[in-house]
Amino acid sequence: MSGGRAKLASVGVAVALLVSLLSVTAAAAATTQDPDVADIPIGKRGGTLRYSSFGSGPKTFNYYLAKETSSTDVLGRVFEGLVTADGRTTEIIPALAKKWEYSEDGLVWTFYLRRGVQWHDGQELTADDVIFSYDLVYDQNIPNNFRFGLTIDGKPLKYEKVDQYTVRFTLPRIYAPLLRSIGVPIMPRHLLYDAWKAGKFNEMWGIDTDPKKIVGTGPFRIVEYVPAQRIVYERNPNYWRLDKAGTQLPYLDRLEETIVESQDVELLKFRAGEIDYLAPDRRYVADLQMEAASKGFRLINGGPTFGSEFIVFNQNPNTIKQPKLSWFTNKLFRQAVAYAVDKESIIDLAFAGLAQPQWSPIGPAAKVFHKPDVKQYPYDLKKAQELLAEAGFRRGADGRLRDADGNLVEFDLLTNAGNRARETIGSLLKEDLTRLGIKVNFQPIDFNVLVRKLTETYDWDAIIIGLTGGPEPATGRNVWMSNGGLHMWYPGQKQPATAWEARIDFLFEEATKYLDNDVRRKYYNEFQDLVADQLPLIYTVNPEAWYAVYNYVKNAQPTAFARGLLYQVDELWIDRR
Amino acid sequence: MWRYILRRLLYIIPMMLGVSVLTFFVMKLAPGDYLDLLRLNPDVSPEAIEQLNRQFGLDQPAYVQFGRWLWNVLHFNLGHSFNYGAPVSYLIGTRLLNTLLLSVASLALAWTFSFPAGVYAAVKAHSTYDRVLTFAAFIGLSIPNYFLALLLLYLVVHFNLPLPVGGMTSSDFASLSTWGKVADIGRHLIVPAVVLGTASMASLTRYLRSGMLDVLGQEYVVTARAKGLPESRVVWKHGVRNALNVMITIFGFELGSLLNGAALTEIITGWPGMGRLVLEALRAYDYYVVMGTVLMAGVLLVVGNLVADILLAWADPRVRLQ
Repeated sequence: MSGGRAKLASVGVAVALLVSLLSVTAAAAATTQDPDVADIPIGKRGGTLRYSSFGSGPKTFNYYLAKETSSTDVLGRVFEGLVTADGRTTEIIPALAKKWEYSEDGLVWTFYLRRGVQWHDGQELTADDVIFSYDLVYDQNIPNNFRFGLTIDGKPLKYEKVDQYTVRFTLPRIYAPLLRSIGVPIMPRHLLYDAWKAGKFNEMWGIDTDPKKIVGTGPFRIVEYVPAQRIVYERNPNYWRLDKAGTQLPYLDRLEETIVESQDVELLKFRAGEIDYLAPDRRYVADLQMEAASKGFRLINGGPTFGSEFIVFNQNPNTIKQPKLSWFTNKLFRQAVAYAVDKESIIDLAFAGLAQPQWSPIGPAAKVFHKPDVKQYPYDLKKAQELLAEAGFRRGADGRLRDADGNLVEFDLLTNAGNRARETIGSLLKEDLTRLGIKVNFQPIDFNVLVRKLTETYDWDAIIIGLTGGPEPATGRNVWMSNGGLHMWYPGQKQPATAWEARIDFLFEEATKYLDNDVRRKYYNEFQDLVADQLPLIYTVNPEAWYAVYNYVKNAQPTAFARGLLYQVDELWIDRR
Repeated sequence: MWRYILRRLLYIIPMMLGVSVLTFFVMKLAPGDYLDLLRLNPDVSPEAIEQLNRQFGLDQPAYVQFGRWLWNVLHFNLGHSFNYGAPVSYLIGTRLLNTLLLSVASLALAWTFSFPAGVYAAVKAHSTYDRVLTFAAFIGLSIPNYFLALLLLYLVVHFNLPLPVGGMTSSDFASLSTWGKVADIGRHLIVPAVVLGTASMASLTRYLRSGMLDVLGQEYVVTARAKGLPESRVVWKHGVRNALNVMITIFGFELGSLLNGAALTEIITGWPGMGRLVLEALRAYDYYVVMGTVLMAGVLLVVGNLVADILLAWADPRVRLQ
């Protein structure tokens, strides 16, 4: 989610002010009084960046109603928050707020806005717009995704305007993920307040609105939207960022985004030079690598993604009968299965070699809190066999595995049909478990049926599925807290069923109560060790995100975190010849 | 005849009612709904999902949802899309003409080629020409459209042809002159029209050939030949004229499917038509978009058949409408 909103800035505000005093351009000085100076190689103004977005395009221009990345990827160019996440480092950096500070007890946070930031229609952005935006966040009639992260122990933040350029937030308790959640897109009060008061905010700025009426503060504004074909953006001439030479960003005049629903066609368009940049399917990366030098483009590894793929066993005593329940709740059984997961083959067969094994619930992409040295389960069927023996399972003369009471070990393994990676993981696992004498009925089924099983009926044995993630572990509370709805192996518990789940509940709560990352890391480290030992989710691999960019696109640094290079769209420039 | 037309048009009402009841409840029978994708997103709170559930009316029994939809339709309101939050009529409006354009273009292409090819194949039945044509038609029938579309686009890129890789308009479309716009759409139309055109060309040629062969085997054709009429008059005056019935019936069917769109071809060639919209809506359980398009396609099918019947009566004095 935050990846969609990611937008880049990179230098400290003090330096920014200093440099801008030395080298202001007349145009910039007239408007933005607190510009940000980008620490990037100096480029040239002008040009158009052409790219494609995979899918069917945006579903709404109303950021507060946007539910998926096809909309937020578009609106992320147009709207901004007080803060944003650096697309390279995932750190929180200033955006519309030039700086912030918090009281000693960590409960009162003050944000100072840049002065003279203009909306695309020329109005100045002030604290009133910020207050208005948080009114929207906490309006129960607006089903937005921001409120969830800004509700602490069931309570909202208090927010108030101090003066034209200052807003203050008061928290019910210390809440470490605050900065991750507080960068909600700021909306123009002067255009939307009346509609909101009339209870019509949810009808505003739908996909049928003339896109020229969509007004934000971002580096680009939409000038044309042709359904199922393309979106054209034009440069915001009053944007608040400069390069070190004092040139106002963005460098580019236009963006042309083509909506393409086929990855094969995206690839053809890239090869034909119709688009300048591509996020290719991993299967094509090797082929592209070979022609890159002669065609004048390069391939960039954006690193591992936040998305995970894992195997989960159902431990819900209300729906799983014995003897299955006793197997699935047995740690040794789960560990044995973990030893039977052949990650190398998964990487080669399902991800064209472009993935990394994942051992910890906080994957390597979440740099700040990832613990690399948790307990690992390298592919080893012998080890798996030993663990099963230790747990009382025995193989009969027929080669089949039986538990201590003589029950044949057999279970159903489901995943959503059509997901090639998960289908591959399932077939490989079935094969390896068969060698251990376990009968696995592997069946890819319809996605919606799978979701119903996971969230409503709970009638399943084992499932291969994945979840999205982000740099802040606390956003996973719906998965890890024992009362969470996505606590897949036993959701919505009144009391934690096991001691280790109770411990995870505690760690997850505590970790949000300190602002110091070193303190927080201790809690998350213990959490990662605990999960790696108990294996409620048996992680498989983290795919890498790869990008192909023509060499004439300068300053391009696509990353998996930012889902490409659009986070830095104001820094890119085109060097033809 | 007018009464006949009126009666046929009135049939549309109960028919559409039946079609929409079927469509709606079949969709409802499929497990899952639009919100399922959100249910697995850790960023979306259960409260937000509950709120959307109420807002979309998904918490109501199916017959209540259908009743509400029907009430809206009777007031010329096709409802709102869950996925886009926009009126269904707006979504269909953005795609309708595009689909029509593509269908008409591919239809025209198919008929211009198939008509002479099919007639000639019947006249020269079992000749080398006929065999080659039959062979080509079977190839055409067996190549999947999406594959042909990808192949054509690949050739465009590989041979650097001055054709766009997908889409319907260029990015500078808005600034072009009227003729420039027509030419631009024409350039984009070539690949999808050829893909869809060749697909129906293959079957059409076969239909026309067999229709024509039937006629050519009739006794009045033998009589005409026996009278010593020139072969061209036999073929055109007695053959084609009588084979028209078959062709008109086929044409009526094709008229009815003008708006159906061809999802896979549209997806590959980036043509912004109805097929893409419907497929996306079906996948996302966006009920009212599916219902809206099914209604339109249903009405068009009935009207297409009606037009075919009228044409038939006009072309063939033996057919009477009543």
